[in-house]
Amino acid sequence: MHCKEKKGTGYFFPLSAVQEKVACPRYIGSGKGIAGFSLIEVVTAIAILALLSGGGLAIFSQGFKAAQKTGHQAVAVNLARAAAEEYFRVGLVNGVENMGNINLNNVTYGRTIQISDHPDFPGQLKRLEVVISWPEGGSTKNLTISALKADY
Amino acid sequence: MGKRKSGQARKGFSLLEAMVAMTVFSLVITAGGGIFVSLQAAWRRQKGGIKVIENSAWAMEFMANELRGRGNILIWDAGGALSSQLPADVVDVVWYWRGEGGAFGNSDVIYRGSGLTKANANTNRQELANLIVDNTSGNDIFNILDGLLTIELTLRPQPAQAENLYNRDYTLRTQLRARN
Repeated sequence: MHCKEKKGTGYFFPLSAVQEKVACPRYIGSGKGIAGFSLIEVVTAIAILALLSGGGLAIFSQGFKAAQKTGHQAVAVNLARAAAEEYFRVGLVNGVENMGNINLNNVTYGRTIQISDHPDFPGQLKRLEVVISWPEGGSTKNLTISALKADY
Repeated sequence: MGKRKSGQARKGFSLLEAMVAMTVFSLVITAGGGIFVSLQAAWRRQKGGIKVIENSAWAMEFMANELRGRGNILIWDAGGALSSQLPADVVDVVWYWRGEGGAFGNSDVIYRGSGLTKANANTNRQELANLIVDNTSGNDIFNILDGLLTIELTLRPQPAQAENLYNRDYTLRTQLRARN
């Protein structure tokens, strides 16, 4: 095989360069045309690596946020049920009431309850709507549950 | 080898090259290792956090569902145990209690059992939730006031270790009416 020097062996490790390296001992020690990586190859490789690891990290942090969200939501569901239970014990009077804040796990949950007549069965059914709100990621999240109770 | 003519390429690396390569390599390995360690710690923390959320939510759901259909709720042991029975049935009594680290189980577990006394219930106990620690609010686990039962559970991924950034407390609180 004739070993002649190649100019610009191309990007991304062309197979011919590898073969030539094996076939031509001169290639390794010649001092000329040694097949190192060009700047653009290195930059491309780093960019791809950064993209991949960045994607992995993004997925990871998303999972972390989702877990935190689940935690907040579980607390809110329980508080909403508790608020409804609290009002089920007493006679229901139409209106909106602020039930005050509860601080759990360093998060403040606001509780509001709205009691109204059922639109189709006023005088027979009351509708409770509990809204739990809490700060999450710079905004306010709400969770609403509603229940019906016989009006007697 | 020893007689290198000018213009002829050398073989092997010079000391400087080797040093530079080793330095770069060690830098990369250190950075990569650091990232790996912190990722793994975050992973563990996340796993622990999810575990306590699942555990507490399930225990709350289970207790609330069972107790809602029952009545005659009594709180025992300074809020660490609760018994309740079906309104018309004295025989079927269920108990929930936190272990005391002795005959009644581990102190980081909530148990459930049935029987006339807590000792009877202890013979057929099942674990309902583990990783329980003292409530940060200072409230009892079970508390009844004006016919409203409050259940407050605080869980920690590693209950034996103190709370820290990687071992956060998670508290769930709910209320329900006792059907007395």
